[in-house]
Amino acid sequence: MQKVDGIRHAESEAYCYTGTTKKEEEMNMKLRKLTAVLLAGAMTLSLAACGGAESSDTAKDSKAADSTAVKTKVLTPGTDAANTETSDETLTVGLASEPSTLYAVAAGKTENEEQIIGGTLVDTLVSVDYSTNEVLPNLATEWEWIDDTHCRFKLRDDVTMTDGTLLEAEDVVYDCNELWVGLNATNDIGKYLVGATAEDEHTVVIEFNTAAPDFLIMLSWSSCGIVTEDEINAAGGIEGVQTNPMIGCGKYKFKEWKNGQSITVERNDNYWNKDYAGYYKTIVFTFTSDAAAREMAVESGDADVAYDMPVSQAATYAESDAVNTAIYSFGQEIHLWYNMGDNAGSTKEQKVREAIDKALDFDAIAQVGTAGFAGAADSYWDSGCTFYASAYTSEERAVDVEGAKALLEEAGYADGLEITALGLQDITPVLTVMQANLAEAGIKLTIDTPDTAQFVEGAFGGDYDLICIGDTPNVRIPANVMPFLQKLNVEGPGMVIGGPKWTTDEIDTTIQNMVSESDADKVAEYAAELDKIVKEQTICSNLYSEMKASVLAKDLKGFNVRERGFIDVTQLYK
Amino acid sequence: MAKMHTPAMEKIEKRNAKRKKPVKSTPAYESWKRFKRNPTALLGLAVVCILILIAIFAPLIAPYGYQTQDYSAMMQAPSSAHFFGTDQFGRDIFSRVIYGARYSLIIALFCTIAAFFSGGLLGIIAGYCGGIVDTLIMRVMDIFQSIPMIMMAMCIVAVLGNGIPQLVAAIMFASMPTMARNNRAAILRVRGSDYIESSEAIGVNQVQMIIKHMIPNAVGVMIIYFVGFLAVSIMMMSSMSYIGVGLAAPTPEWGLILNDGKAYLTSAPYMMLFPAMMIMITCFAFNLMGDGLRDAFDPRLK
Amino acid sequence: MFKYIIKRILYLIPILFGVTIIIFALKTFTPGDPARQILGNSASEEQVQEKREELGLNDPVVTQYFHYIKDIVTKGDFGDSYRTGKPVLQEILPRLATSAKITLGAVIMGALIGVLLGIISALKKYTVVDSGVLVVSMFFQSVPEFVIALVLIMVFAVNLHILPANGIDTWQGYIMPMLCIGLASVASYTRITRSSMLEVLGEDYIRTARAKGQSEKNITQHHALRNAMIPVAQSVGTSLGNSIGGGMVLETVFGVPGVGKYIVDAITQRNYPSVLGGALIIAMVLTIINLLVDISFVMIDPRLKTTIISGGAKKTPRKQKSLKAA
Repeated sequence: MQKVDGIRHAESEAYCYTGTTKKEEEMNMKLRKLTAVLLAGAMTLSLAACGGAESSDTAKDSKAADSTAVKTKVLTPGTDAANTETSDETLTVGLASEPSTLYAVAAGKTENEEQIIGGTLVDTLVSVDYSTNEVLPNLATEWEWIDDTHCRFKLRDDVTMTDGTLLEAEDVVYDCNELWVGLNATNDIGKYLVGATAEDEHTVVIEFNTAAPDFLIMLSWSSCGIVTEDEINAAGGIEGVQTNPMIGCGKYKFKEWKNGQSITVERNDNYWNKDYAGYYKTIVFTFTSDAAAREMAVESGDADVAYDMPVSQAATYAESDAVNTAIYSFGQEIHLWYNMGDNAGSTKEQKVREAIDKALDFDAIAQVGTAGFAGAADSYWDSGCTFYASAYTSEERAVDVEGAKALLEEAGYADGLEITALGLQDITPVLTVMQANLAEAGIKLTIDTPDTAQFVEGAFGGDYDLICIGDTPNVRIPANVMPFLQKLNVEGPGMVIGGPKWTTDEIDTTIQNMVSESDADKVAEYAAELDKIVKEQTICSNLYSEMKASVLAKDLKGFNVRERGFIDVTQLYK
Repeated sequence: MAKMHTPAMEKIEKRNAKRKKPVKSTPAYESWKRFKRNPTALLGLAVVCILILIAIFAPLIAPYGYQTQDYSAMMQAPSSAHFFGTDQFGRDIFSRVIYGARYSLIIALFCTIAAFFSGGLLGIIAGYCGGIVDTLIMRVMDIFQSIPMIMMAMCIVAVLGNGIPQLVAAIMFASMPTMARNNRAAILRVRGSDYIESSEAIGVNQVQMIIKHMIPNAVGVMIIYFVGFLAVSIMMMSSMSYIGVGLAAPTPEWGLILNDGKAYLTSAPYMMLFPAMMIMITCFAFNLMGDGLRDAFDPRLK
Repeated sequence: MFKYIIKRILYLIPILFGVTIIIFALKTFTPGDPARQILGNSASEEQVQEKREELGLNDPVVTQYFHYIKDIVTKGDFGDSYRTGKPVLQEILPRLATSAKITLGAVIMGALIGVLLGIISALKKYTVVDSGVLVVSMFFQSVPEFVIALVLIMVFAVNLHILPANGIDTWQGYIMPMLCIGLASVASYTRITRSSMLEVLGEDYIRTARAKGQSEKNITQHHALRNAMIPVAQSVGTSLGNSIGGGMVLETVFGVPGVGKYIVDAITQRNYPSVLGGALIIAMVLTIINLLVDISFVMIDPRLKTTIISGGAKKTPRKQKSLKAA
């Protein structure tokens, strides 16, 4: 751009031109020769500089390349003791983007950034120990299932909300009926709820529309935070509360939202649970979408946490002495789905799917997808699930190009096959590996990575042969357990993006059984059954446990995670 | 022009033919003479020639395929086996950068040609025809120019999707107004120059004037823009790769390689360094050449 | 002159119409349903249709266009952002101010460095210094801006700890983005300054001043510099307008809430009210800045009147005619 501009301006100066003399012409020549020499010098210098960089890097990197096995020098959630001190310091958390609202429940949607920030403001009926998936009392001291779909909660009587009032059963009824069901009927919160009724001032019964014991875990998500109607009205109603969320009884209170720059929350000194001590008086969330810049802010001391780093990028700091790196799985496994629906192409044939499965190098895929922090998956279920059991032998997971070619020939694609994989930008590296793998077997894979809107449209319409999508079945609610193979989702009205666009009654019933079962052994049985079906028909290829990564300041302790792998910033301390 | 054939004339012609240098002075020849005397411009030209050769003979130069992945050699620092190191797939960065010359230069060339044939042509038409045609074209270009270049390019990619032709179209649309303006100005300057005006006044044949004077004079300036725009389009491609629109993996376009390497800025700087250097050297060369061409074609502009 | 200003302001109207038409045309052909973007991935087809109806996306494009224009003209309403539900204008204006601040600083910084280098190379013409300046200024023009940005963060924030890595909470946060945009334009300013200085130094009045025995320093400072700055100042004006909306890459790296990044995000989210509003406001600002720049130059230096008012074309009779016709 600049170049072209320069020419244009230069042109307009010509009006006051005077000619160059002979002497100047000669001088001009001399100048140019000098410039040429200088330029050549600069280029050699920069080349030499690279040469210097090479030699110093060699030693370090060959060492890194050796340790291809699972790496360990990263933080694991929940290893530090809880904080006991308080201070007046400020914690700065660098997020990738700015949330569109600070109370997504009021907008009828869910949003990652909102959940990270909103989770500090609201508290939930129950909490969960994410290392064991055990449900713990929180705002509710105890609960019991009346039947499969009704659960009775006893509330604490000493919980103060932001407006100074005490929490009552009627408030939970309002949240459930007006907010979760009323405004969020389409998403995971409202989809499974029927409503709530108050039995007395501190007892409330919540009704679900299907049976699933893990619904209790769902109630610990920050989108099920407890607020009161008065608070919402005081904050400006459903519209106003989204920018001014003075609500909840959480560990922190909303303070300020500087549009485009930062969001500040302040420690709630009236927090009901006196066992909790928040180290930081204020937490500031800032927004930088460039991951490298976000990390460098931590390294320079401007920020304490660089949230949501690409795993491959975070992995490069695993050995760093300047920062701590957290790389962890959160119960989500990525699967490669084959389109088997109405507008499916060659992947409708099982032989083709098997051939692709045989040709893929799952170890390489896992290596690239998790930067070496997890191996190839050997079950549909993530290894973090309680009902996980290995379903594949290592021979079955090995690369078998000849076998793949033979299958393709049987299916009538001896001359080659062309397929497309649809994905978002961040999955491109994994698809790049697949592309090379499949090329060995004579399959030409085209990688289609459009922008989010186009991806969603394509993934909805089944406009792909292959698609990589994950699910988090460790919480057994209907939305999480094999959503892509549920009748409701495949045939409508509930639609999901991606998946095979195909299912059978048998699969659907088994999924329903697995969701509603409370006996752990039975659950494991259903899980194994589903795993077998998926494997026998090659409905999908299991890739790897998805990893989340963040970079934290060196002196930061108390690293813990919440639902879906969000960092619990309220637990951090120095 | 018919030549006279008298014995005397033939004698003179023979004598002229014996002379080492024919006395010839076309604007192009004069420009070449000026260009030749300019070492920085020649250096630019030499680098560009080398780059073109690299692009043509990429398969012979590159020791590995640009797509060949090797999981036993991931993220290796530069060594004798991998001159520029390897990336997270174990692909040889040197080979990718060499093939990248092919992709980047060709895409840049296509973008420039496309921009010339759309915006450039419109500018020439506007400048030459003048009057209502000029007004109409330039007002439309004003509208296009009010939309920032990258935003325009992104909108086009959102409509057309990713891919090389789509990227070329996007950059073409985005740069149309600038191209039109520059070319129109070039034509107008030639039109407005004194010798054209005086030729017009003394009634020189229009066609002859266009061929003999206007085109050679305007083409010089247009070549300057052409070369300058090659650098601009390479820079634009890298910006678009950064935002994540334009080309899909594993195309070894420099901007994409650079963007892939960005993740490893601190741990493996060579992944970013080499593609960045190629972009720099190429743009440097084009800019130097452009500077030299400007001096050569238009000594008044310096 | 007054007539000229009025005419230029009236020009704004067809330009703005043109911009809306282009964006609306692109919007029609762009795949990706905004309604689905708003509702999220688990919404059913029915709900998406309902939302489309609510947003008026099922109306014919012409009707949509008409409504959009009507709201702007009658109510000054650019619509509400699909993402946040807030009025577009309210979201854009603070971002525009941020971008404007950075652009202004960058142009000043770039021009200062460029002019300084240009003067040095003009005074030390045909020496090592001169060619050194050329190489340095061209370097920043030839490296992708985000590479320079990341290197700057690495040096000034991570290693030296003197500037914040990102964000614009403090005034120091503005320095690196300004420097980055500024450095990229140094080359063109250097070139313009150098050639313009050389030209001015060869003018008659400079020779006269020399003959009168004035010191070289005095000549440079009082005579040459002032006149040589006119083309530089002109190009400062133009780049000011051009780079306001074009900073999305650097705004992304430095975490700056600018208007460029706002529009890029809006495009990927299919947030059409924001795209349209952003494009319109940028077009307006661009045109107005260009007009102000042109007017101020005519005021400062009446010699430029012909050049500017006839749109850069010099003494082309046809051009003059066409302007009258327009």
